[in-house]
Amino acid sequence: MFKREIETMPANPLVTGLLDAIVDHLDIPKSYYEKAAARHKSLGEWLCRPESKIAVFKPHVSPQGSFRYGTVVLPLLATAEYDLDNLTVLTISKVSMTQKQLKELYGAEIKAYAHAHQMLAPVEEKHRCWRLPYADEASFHLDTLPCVPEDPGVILGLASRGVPPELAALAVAITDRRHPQYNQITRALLSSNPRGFAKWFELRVRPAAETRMRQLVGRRLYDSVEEVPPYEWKTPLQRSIQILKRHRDVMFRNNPGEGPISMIITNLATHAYGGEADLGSALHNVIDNMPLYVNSSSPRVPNPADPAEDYADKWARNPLLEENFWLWHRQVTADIAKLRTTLATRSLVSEVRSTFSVELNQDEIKWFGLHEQAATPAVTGAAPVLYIPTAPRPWGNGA
Amino acid sequence: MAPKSFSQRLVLWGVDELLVKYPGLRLAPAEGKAVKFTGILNFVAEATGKERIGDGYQLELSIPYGFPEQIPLVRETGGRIPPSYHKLDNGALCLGSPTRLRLTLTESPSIIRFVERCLIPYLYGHSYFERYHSLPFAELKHGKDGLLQDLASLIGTEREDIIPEFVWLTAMKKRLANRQRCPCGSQRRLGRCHHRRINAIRDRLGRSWFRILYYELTEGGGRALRTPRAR
Repeated sequence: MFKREIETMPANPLVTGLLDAIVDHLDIPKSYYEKAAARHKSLGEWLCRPESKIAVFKPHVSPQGSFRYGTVVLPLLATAEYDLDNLTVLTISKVSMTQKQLKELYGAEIKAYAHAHQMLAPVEEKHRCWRLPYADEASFHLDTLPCVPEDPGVILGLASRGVPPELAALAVAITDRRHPQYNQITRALLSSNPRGFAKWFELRVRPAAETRMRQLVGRRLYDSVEEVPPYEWKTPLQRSIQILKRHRDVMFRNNPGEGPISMIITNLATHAYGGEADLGSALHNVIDNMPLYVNSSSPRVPNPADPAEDYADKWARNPLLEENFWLWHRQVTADIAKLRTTLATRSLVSEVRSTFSVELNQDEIKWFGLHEQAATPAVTGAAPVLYIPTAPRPWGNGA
Repeated sequence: MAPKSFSQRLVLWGVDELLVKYPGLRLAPAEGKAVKFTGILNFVAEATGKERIGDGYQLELSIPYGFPEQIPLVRETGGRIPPSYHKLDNGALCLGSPTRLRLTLTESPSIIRFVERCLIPYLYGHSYFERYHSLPFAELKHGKDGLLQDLASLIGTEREDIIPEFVWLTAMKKRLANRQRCPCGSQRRLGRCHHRRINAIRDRLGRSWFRILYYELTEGGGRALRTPRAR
């Protein structure tokens, strides 16, 4: 009954207007994206400077993560840090050195970069990457991952499993401190394809961004559409992902780290996106269809650019994480449906506050108030009257 | 049919419908073994000869993975229902006898059914009690007497002293039980006497449920529950 009810609901322009208003509250300032891009560029230049010990390997820094996809949301806490991710591809063979040597060689350059830029907090070594702390008006940390291009045989293997060749070619081999052959020269490095995923994401999103990109070029903000970065695209898919991530953040605010990870949300939402032109229809479709892309066996949520890479690999070790995905999905489905029915009611402001931790401003409240007559029929939110034919008898207290 | 996966379980239980119909309740992050809802349950309810009451309670509902065979646990977290008003020793709401609740729930594994047939009647009763200082529905006697009273009405007898015998027969296989003498004193075998009700509740709740009940009623001192092999 519920699913039919949702499916028959027309894409209401007011719903889209409300969702757009919510995303506007979740968006980070454009300057943060620019700052992130500047930091990737600065690191890339540092690694390529003549004195760099890895300049000879032609390091290429490639931004990753939500800053690349344009799906960052303001953290719930003002003190929270933004995660910046990039990977640095060094053009050498897997067997040129051990993983440890590669990680430490790269680490030395990262530490030198931190020192040269007067970063006070120490550079931190993680299992696979180095973490650079930044501290200014917004706290960032940059996880930078050294890697080498994958062997041609591995790339051919990916292509034979249905990965488009242009995505397969972007696969890399990464270092991991937990790898049993971390100290040995080996071809058995872990394979990953974050660049392939990013390219797949951009290919899926780009058609919906064409109009906006041309507008930005027309306003002379960019010289060509190729120069318009994804954070400027603001497509219905990107904005849907922002809504879903914020809903996750609020639902798991007391259990951070237990909700569905952003890569799972981004992956499934991108699969489910059908090219809808407005946020209301896109979000509806994405929420409805994202479970279709969760496999019943491993890999549960594969990287489309490397089917062996499972973004949900932790679900097998911790079943509560999978349960949380499904609980979150049921709750976000209900909450988005509820937004539609509370549009014309007074409870709209409190619904938006409790669901997204967003305070609609007076202009927005007024705007939705002005359209009250045109909105969906008001639903009080109260259940219909229940008739109690018989009641189970509880025990008396013996008094 | 038992659900194959966690997501199927949520569908089978009608979680979507519950969230839509009672939007004040929200799913809580997983803790294992139970699906938990927290929030406010708003309702408007009425009963025969009783007034319509609209009210809301701050609750925490734990639906065990074994639902509907296992009964959900409900706590009132708003501090409104005192310990003296139908609560279990662990502070959860005492919604009714477990046998009655299970009979209600085995008809359909739906959480809405639990909420509307078991929980809202309880909350309605409390709201009514707050207003009129009397209960709108009957309650069971205290302790074991209440258990006997409830089973007596289920089985269709007024004699509570013979209830353990009936429970013993319900814990037996049907064919064997029907050959035993009916405890009601009719001198007929069960298969010719109280068999319909006994067989119906055995079919719905299973023999093991009545083995546990028999143990509770006799405090472990009753007859052996091993049933002779049927020929």
